[in-house]
Amino acid sequence: MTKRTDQSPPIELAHIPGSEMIETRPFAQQAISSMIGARYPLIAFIFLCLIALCTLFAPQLAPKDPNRVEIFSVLRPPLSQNRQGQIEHVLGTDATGRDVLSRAIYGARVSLSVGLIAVGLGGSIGAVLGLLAGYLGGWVDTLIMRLADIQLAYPFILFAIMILSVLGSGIDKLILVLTVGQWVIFARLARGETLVQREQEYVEAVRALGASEWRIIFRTILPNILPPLIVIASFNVAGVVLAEASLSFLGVGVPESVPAWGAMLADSRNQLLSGSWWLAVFPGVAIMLTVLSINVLGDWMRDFLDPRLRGSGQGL
Amino acid sequence: MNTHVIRRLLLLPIVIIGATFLSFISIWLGGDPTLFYTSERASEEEIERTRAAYGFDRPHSEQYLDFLFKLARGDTGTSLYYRVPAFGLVMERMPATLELTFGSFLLSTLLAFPIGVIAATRRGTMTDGRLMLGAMFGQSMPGFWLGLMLILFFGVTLRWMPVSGHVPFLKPLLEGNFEQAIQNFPNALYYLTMPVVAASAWPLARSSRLIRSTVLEVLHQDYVLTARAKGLVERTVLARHAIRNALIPIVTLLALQFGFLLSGVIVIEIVFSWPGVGRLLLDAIKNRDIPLVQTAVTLLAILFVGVNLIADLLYGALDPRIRLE
Repeated sequence: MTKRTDQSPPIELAHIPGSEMIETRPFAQQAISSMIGARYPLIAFIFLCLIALCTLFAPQLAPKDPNRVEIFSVLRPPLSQNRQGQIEHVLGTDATGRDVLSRAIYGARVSLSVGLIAVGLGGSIGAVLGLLAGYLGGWVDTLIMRLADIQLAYPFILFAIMILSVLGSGIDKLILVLTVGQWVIFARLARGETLVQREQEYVEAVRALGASEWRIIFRTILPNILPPLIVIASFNVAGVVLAEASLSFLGVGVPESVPAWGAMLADSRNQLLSGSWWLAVFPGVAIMLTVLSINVLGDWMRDFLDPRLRGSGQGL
Repeated sequence: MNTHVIRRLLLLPIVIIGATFLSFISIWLGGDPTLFYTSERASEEEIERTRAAYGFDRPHSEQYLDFLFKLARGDTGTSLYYRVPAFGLVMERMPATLELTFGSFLLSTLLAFPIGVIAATRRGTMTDGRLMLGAMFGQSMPGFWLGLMLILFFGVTLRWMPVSGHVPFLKPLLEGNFEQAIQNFPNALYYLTMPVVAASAWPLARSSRLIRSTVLEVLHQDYVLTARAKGLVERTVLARHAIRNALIPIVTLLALQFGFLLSGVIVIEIVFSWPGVGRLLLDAIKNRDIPLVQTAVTLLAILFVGVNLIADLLYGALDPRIRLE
């Protein structure tokens, strides 16, 4: 260690004006304390954890088999008692005597898994394409962005309806179609961000060090454009959950045997005029609260990860 | 600016080809459509005859190119199921879809404006918080579910509103039959109310949030500070300086929203058994009615691209500073 030559006192970080603003805690700790500080994101997070538990432990949590038909207990209202005076179906039964609560618990599986997988896959593909378009430019950029233009120039739900109604329903097909719907927005955002980052000095520095193009794209630029992509991803999960519900409602989403919230609402349409309100209310509330929680969490994440986007309305 | 418009217009044929090509192959991927037009007990010979009659025996590429050439000449073919020209069928349903789309656009825009501006000017207050929480709810609610709830509450329980049905207003108006249109108007509005409210919730929520954030951004500009420093009353600052400048991005965003509305309307049509293009298209897909599907897809594409083009043009027209490449 070299001996200090000047006699001035060592500079203490705490004495620098404004230095108390610099966050020194680990990232996860900052995130947790920020979430606890804000009330709604915490509630949303807890609700989503409950939904996640439903998807993981549906067989254990559901009181009945979601597809078991009980012809002697058809269209039972919620909390109605059987002959022994017990409440058998907390949220009632549908037109074929299936337990609404059990179906709703299983329905969380479809919504959450389709939402997460479609956004995960579509987002990754879109981000990579956008990175390449933004960094390489030229014909790669033109090709990818014109493709995006064409896809955006047509209402996506029409494509989805067409493909799914002809190919037949199925979770795999549903995920495939929704994935195709996702890539564009990520590609556009990633391209825009890459164009900005490409000109930054740190990229220049890495290039001067002799890094390969590949390394510059995926190891240097990608980590720096991730925050806005993650924010958009969270909003898009909400969008995909809604789209999945719409498609299942139209009868082109999941097969008949799979309980899904949208499909439950489609079934409820026939019973609406007879006043079986519980069939229409509960699955809809489940969709709304799930999407609401994702949106609230997305809002919080945007403010936390990337304050630049605040109020820009991006993703919503 | 002009090149941008030209580019948009050049996109139209590509979009039409892309959309119709995709619907063409997806229908064929679903199996031979001939079987939808023959009875289950039809002999091989009969099936063969039907296939030839519909032209399904030709190579796929030939069938598709034939469709494109005919489309270029303005011939969209005859519906296989209804056996009448497909164009007429779609155009007959188009006014009902447009009524729903325009109605929702009007309602959501008219409400979103005051909500967004009030929330922005009272930022951080309880009013702002409540309005934005409401917007968050609106944005998280599936429109078709809101439709079901409206049917349940106002249609079934209170019996105030009709649960389905449609009285044409736009159609007689477009046909020049003004008397009929005016006569139909009150009833048309009555039947339109619930579907429009259901289709408006999402765009209303989204627009309010966008308007709020745009106005907030403008309120931080120097010229607003100058206006305040001049001693202008707050109302003048808002109306003459802030909102006027916020209008440009807002109008563009609203116009872009129109396209999204069209997608939502298709699902709402199913909920309310609305006789629009969305329902026609869904039925046509189920019947494998290729000419009808292609015609509906083409006309919706033209509408969608057209609306986006108008949004682009508005952008340039409202703010001369914006130069579209």
